[in-house]
Amino acid sequence: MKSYVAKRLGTMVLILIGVLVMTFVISRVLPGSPVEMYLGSRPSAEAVERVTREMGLDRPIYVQFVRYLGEVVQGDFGISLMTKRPVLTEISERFPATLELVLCSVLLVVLVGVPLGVVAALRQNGIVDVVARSVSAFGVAIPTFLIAMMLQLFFAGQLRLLPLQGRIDDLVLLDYEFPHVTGLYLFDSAIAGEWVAFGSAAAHLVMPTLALSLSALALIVRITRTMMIEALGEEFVTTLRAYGLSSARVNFRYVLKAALIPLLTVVGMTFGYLLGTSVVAEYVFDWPGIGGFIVRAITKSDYPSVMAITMLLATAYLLITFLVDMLHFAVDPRLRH
Amino acid sequence: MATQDITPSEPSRLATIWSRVAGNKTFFVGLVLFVVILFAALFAPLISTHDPLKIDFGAKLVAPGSEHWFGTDELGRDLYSRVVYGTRTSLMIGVVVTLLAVAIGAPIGLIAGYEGGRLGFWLMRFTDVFIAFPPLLLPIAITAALGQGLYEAMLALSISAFPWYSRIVYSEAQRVSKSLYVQSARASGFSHFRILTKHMLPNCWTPAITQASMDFGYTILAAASLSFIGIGAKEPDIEWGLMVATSRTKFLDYWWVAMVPGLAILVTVFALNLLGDGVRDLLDPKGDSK
Amino acid sequence: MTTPVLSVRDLRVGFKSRQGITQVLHGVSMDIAPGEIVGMVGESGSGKSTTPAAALGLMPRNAIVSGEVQMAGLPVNVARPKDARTDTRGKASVIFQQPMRAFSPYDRLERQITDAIIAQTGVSKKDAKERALHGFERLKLPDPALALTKYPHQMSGGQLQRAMIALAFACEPKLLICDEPTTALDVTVQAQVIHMIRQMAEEDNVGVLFITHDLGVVAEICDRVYVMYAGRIAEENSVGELLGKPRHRYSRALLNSTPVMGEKARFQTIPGNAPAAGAHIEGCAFADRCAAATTVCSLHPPSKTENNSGHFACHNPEPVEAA
Repeated sequence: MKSYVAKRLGTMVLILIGVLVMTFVISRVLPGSPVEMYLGSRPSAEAVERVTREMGLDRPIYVQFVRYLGEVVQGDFGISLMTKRPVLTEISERFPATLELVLCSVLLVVLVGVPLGVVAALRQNGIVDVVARSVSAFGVAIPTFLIAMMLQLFFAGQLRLLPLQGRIDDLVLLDYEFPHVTGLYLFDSAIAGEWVAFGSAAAHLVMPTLALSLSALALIVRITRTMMIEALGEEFVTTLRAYGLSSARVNFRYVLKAALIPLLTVVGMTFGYLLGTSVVAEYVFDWPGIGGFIVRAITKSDYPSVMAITMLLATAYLLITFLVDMLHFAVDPRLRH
Repeated sequence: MATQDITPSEPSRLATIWSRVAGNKTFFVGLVLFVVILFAALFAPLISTHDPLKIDFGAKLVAPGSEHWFGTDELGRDLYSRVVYGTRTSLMIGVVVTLLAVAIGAPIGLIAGYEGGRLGFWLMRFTDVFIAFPPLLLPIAITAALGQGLYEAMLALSISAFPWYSRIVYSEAQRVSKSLYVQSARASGFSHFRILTKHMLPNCWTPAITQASMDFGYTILAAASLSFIGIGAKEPDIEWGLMVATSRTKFLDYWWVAMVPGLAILVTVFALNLLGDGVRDLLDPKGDSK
Repeated sequence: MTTPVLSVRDLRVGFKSRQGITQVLHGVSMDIAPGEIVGMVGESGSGKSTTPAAALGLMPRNAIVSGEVQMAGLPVNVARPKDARTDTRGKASVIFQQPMRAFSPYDRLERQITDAIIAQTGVSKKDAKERALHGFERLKLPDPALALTKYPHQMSGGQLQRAMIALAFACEPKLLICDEPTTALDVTVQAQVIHMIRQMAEEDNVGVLFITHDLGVVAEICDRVYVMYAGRIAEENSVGELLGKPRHRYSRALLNSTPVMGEKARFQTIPGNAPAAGAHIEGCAFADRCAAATTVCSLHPPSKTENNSGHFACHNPEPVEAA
C-alpha cells in the first residue's frame, strides 16, 4: 500500500520537474529573447546588458536552470511588467476568486451531471436519456465564450435579472463588509452573517459558473451514462439477480459502486479542464481571478506573469490529480489489496 | 503469455463500410453538414454576397435582412460573407493542426513502442508533462513566447496535441511489436525502417485516426477560444472566434454580431463531432481504444 | 415415483424484436429427479442455457415464454417472468461460467454471499453468515473465516468457483443449475470442482442440471444427459447408453468430435453451422449437416421415438448393433 502512494508521489514529483523544465524552456529558449520577455519590447542597449548579467543569461544553460529552480522554490516569480508588483502577490490576491468559480463549477458538474448520467442509463431511451444525450451533443460543441455571451445577452441584457460582470457589487462590498477569511466570498459572507453580500456574490456567480460548467457537464453526463451502462451489463449483476435480489437493490448497492469508482479519475480530469477553461470564462465576465489576469498579461506582453501562472496552474492540476488518485486508491478494493 | 497473432492489414472493405455509413443516422447528418461547410469553404468567392473585408461605415451594425443576410458588424462588413470565408480558416486550422500533431506524435509513439523498455517509460513521462497542463494553458504559454498570430497559435496547438497521439500510438505499438508477425519480421533481418513502415504502421494507425477525427472539432473550438482572448488570429484574418471577440463592445444591443459567428462555430464543431463519432464507430465499434 | 425437482413440458421461448419474433426454443421437455445429475449438451445457441433461464424467470422483457414447468411439484408461471421468479425463490440455485466475473469486485465476498442467501431464503443476517461460513468449510476453502472477508480478486478462479458453489448449496435448493462452471478454469481444477458438485449434490439430495459442451465432463459425473440442437431435444438417455450407443446422428457426430483418452484421435468436426436463431426450418434441424440425411429428413420434423431409458427424434437414426 505504502509503495503505491510512494510510487505515485514519485511520479508526480518527476512530472513536476518536467513542468518546470518546460516552462523554463518556453521562456528562455524559444525564439524571442528572454531579456525582451523580462523588459518588454524595445529595451535600451544598456538595460539589455544589465539585465543579461542580472538574469545570469551569460552563464551556461544548466546553471540558468538551477537558478530558475531556486527562484521558483522561493516563490520569486519576478515582477509583473504590467502592474510592476511581484507576480506572486498578483497571483495570491486573485487566486481565491478563481478557486471559488472552479469549485462551484465542479460541484455543479458532479452534483447534476452524475445523477443525470445514472438516470439516463437506468432508463435508456427514456425522456431523461434523450434529453441528456442531445444536450450533451450540443454542450461539447459550444465554445465557452459563446455560451457566456449568450447568458449575458439573455439574463443581463434582456431580462436584467443577473449582473453582467464582476464578482460582487462594489457598493455592497463597501457597505456590507465581511472578513475575507478564505477569500471565497460565498463562504466568508455566510459565516459572517452578511446576507446581502452573500446574495450579491451568489448572483454574480450564477452565469460564470453555468458558462464554465456546460461543456464539462455535457462530458460527464455522457461518460457517467456509459460507465453505468457498462456496470449494468456486468456478470455479477446476473448472479445477484439470479439469487433473487431486486433490480433496485442490485443497482443501488452494487452497480453504482462499480460505475462511480472508475469515474473518480474523470472527475479529476474535469477539474483540470475547468482550470484551463476558466481563463476564457473569467475574461468574458471580467472575473477578478487568475484567468482574467493571464489574458491581460498576454496582450500586454507580461511574460513573467504568463509563465508563472501557467506553471502554477499546472502544479495545481498535478496536485489535484494526485489527491484524486489517492481517493481512488482508498475507495477501490482492487488497488488496496 | 502467448503472443498474439496479427494478420497483415486487410484491404478496405468498401461495401461493408458503405452499408454502415448509410445505416448510421447521426453520422449521416454530420456528413451532410460537413459537406455543406466544405462546399462553403471551397466556393466561398462564389457564394458570398459581399467582399468580406470591405469596410462600410455607412452600413454599420445593420440587422439581418435582405441586403445583408446575417447583418453587418461594427465596421459595416457583411457577416454572411465573413462567416463563409471563415469556413476556410477553420477548416485549415483543423486540418493543419491535427495533421501536424499526428505527423509528429505518431512516429514518436511508434518508435518508442517498437523499441520498448526504458525508451518507452521515459516517453510516457515526457508525454505526462504535456498532459499535466490544463487545456489552453500550454498554447497560451507557447504563443506568448512565439508571438501572437494565427500560425503561431496553430503551431502552439500542434505542440500541445502531439503527445496525446504519441501515447495512443505507443500503447498500440507495444502490443503489435510483441506479435508473432513483427517478431518474425525482426528475426528475418528486415531493416527497422521497413518493419516500422510496412509491419507496424498499418496495424497501429487506426486508434490515431479515430482520435484525430474526434479531435478535429475540438481543435477548431480551441483555436476560436485562443482568437477570442486575443492570441491567435489577428485582423485582417477572418476567423469566427476573432469575430466574436470584436463584437463584445456592441453585442448586447446588436446580438447578431456575436451570435452569427458563434453559431457558425457551434454548427461546425457539432457536425465534425458527429462525423468523428461516426468514424470511430466505423473503425472501432467496440470502443477498445481510449 | 418421487416428485421430480424440475419438470418441463413443451417449453417454448421467442424474443420480440423490430423484425418480428425470433423463436429460440421449440418445445423442450425434461425431468430431473432429486439427487440426479442431468447433463445438457449442445453447441452455442442450441438453447441449453435458455431452457433453465426461462424456467427460473430470468428472461429479458422482450421474451415470450410458454409451457408447463413444475419445480418440486409446484407450478411455475413461466409466461410471466416476475411470477416465475417468485415461484422459484429459494428452490433453485445457479452456478455461472466465469467465477472471476460472477462477483462484484468492489464488495467483500461475505457481503454479496449473505445478501444472496437472504434474498433466496429469507433467513436472518446472522443465519446467512453462518450458512456462508459452513459452506466455505464444506468446500474446503483454506481459512474459511478469513476467506469470507476477502475481495474476489484476492482469490483464484478455482477458489471463487468453490465460493459460488458454497453459496449455491447454502441456499438449500432443490435444484442446482450449473452453466458451464468449469469451462473457464484450469484443467487441474476442473476435476476437483465437478467432483465437489457431485458429492454435495448426493449428500444434500439435490437435483442438478449440468450444462456443458464438453462430453468428457458429462461422462465423469452425469447420470443422464439431454442432447440439444437448434432449440430442440435431439436425444436423451442415460450416460452409459448415450455414449455407447447414440441413436441421433447429431449425438454420434458430437461423440466423434470429442477426443477420448486412450483412443486414437479421430477428430471429425461437424461441417457447416447450426441454424441461426429463429430460422424457420422444414423438417429436421440437423438435416443440412447430417451425413445420413434422407429426403424425408428435410420435409418433416422427426417425432419422438422412445427406447429403453430415453428417447430420440430422428428419421434415420444410428443402427443398433445386435447385442
